[in-house]
Amino acid sequence: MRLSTVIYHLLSEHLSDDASEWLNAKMALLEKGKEKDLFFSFSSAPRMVGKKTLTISAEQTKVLKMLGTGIEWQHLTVDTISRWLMLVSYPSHDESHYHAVLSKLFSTADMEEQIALYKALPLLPHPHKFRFQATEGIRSNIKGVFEAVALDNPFPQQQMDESAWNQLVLKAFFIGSPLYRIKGLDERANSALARMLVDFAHERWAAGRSVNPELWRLVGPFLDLKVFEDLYKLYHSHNSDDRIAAALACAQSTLPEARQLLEKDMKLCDAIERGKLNWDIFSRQLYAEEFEELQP
Amino acid sequence: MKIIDPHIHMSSRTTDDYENMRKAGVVAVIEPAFWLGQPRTEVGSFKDYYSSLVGWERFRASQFGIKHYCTMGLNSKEANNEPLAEQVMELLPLYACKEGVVGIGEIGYDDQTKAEDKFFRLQLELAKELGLPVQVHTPHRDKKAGTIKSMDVCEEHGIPPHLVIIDHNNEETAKSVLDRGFWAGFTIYPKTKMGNERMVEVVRKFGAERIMVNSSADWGMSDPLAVPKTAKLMLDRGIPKEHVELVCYQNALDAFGQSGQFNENDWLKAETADQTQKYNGNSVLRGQVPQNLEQDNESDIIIK
Ligand SMILES: [Zn+2]
Repeated sequence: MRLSTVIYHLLSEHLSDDASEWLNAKMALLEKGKEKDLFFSFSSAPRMVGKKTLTISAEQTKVLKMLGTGIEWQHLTVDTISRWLMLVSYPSHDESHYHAVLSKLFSTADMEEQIALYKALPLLPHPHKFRFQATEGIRSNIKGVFEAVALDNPFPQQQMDESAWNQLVLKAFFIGSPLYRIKGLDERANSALARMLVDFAHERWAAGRSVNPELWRLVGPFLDLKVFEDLYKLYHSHNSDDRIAAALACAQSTLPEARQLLEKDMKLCDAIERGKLNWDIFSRQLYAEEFEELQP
Repeated sequence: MKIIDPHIHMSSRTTDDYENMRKAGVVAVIEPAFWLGQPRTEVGSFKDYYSSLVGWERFRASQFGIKHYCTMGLNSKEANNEPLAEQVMELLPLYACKEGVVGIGEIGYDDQTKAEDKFFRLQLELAKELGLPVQVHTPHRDKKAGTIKSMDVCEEHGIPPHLVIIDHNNEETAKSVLDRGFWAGFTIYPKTKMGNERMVEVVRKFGAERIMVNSSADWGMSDPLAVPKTAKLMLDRGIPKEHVELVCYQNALDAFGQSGQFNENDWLKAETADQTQKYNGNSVLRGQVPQNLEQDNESDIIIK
């Protein structure tokens, strides 16, 4: 089934008659490939279709999974999905024309539009054309825009070269985004990134600041004896998050010293080996706790 | 008391201003597109400026718990560069229907030249087409005549007065603006426009209907707290609270609310400006501990 058809059906049950009529008229216009029509319908989407959150049935989730986009379809709003529909329906057979039109859309976008555009990256035809645009999103000073590229989005994993990828991960640490929501985090771990992250941890410690324990997830596979000293200290710290993070990182390493350290606490070691504790579970808990602290 | 500043150029202001405004009760601001002091010579400069009004500046404001809206337009000064102005007119429709764009503005006359007149009229037509309110900048020089002409031209284009905010009024222009059914904006701007003691007397004389106060704070010697300060002065000098609320909050809401893009729930329903909130990240406050804006913190001296 075509992507646009699936999206259209997903959307249609959430639209009022007026909104539906408006969208249909716009879709007919868009097929003609006039950029102005795309610009206008794209920017007026929220005022025409509203901003309700989409509810997605189990059946629909299955269909969406089959599309293989790697996108998280939960928590999306009607205006965002309408905008995606416009993007994938606009004629794209001429690669450079399509890219030029979308670049204009990116460069004139408001905050919510930028977020919708960056989240749509994995859906766009000719994805390789948008590699530079994705790095622009990573450079954004607006956290929501950065996270639209970096979190729950398969595009960086699929399209970014190593240096762009590493900047994405580093920046996520700098601005406090939850790392476990970066797709392909483990697959794209690399020794250059591990080295930068260890340096970053040392800088934080020197300044008397704490280090997000998720950092060690990307260091574990590249452990050497020097970095192991950091983990050893971490393991023996009073902070239980740090201690668990050190153990999880040790479990990723083939270093015999790391193994020994891990086995010091058989209960913890056992939980990790039986999959009861892993980085994702750990991170989710970490951010859930942080979230609870914020509640009044 | 909740305050709206319906005319302020936040792009020229610092984060300290945002913080002080929030503390003084400002919940929402409208930033009209204007000139930047330095004339622009390329259409791309306009594009980036408009993008920042709906992008970066909106985000920056949200960090401090203030909702940021804007009006889009080509200002009168820069309308005089005709070839450039033509290109800007092509650009405007792209921005005018975006979320949070509450009108076309600030447009009108400066030197009252032919070119200014041409682009004022073109933009009135755009506003009419989109059903948006118009925020009109009135000239500093030959003010009274310029104000009357602005209203005449709006009427000529069939724009009803209830959709037009005539700005930068004074004691001399107020009567005709109000008599003809337009909204009257008053700018509390040190030295060149209105002082707030004069403003108190304006409200005493004309009442509170269709009058709104703004700061027009920008890159010049101006005061981003002009509206809350004026509200306080009015209360101190015996203006009834209901009237103060009208001129410092409700009238702006009613006038620009006609765009369908300016909704009280945007800030009433929003929680406090918790800077750790998901979509209001802390990159402006890079490296700072997020602070709850409802509390006063005395430990500002320590740099962590
Ligand atoms: Zn102004």
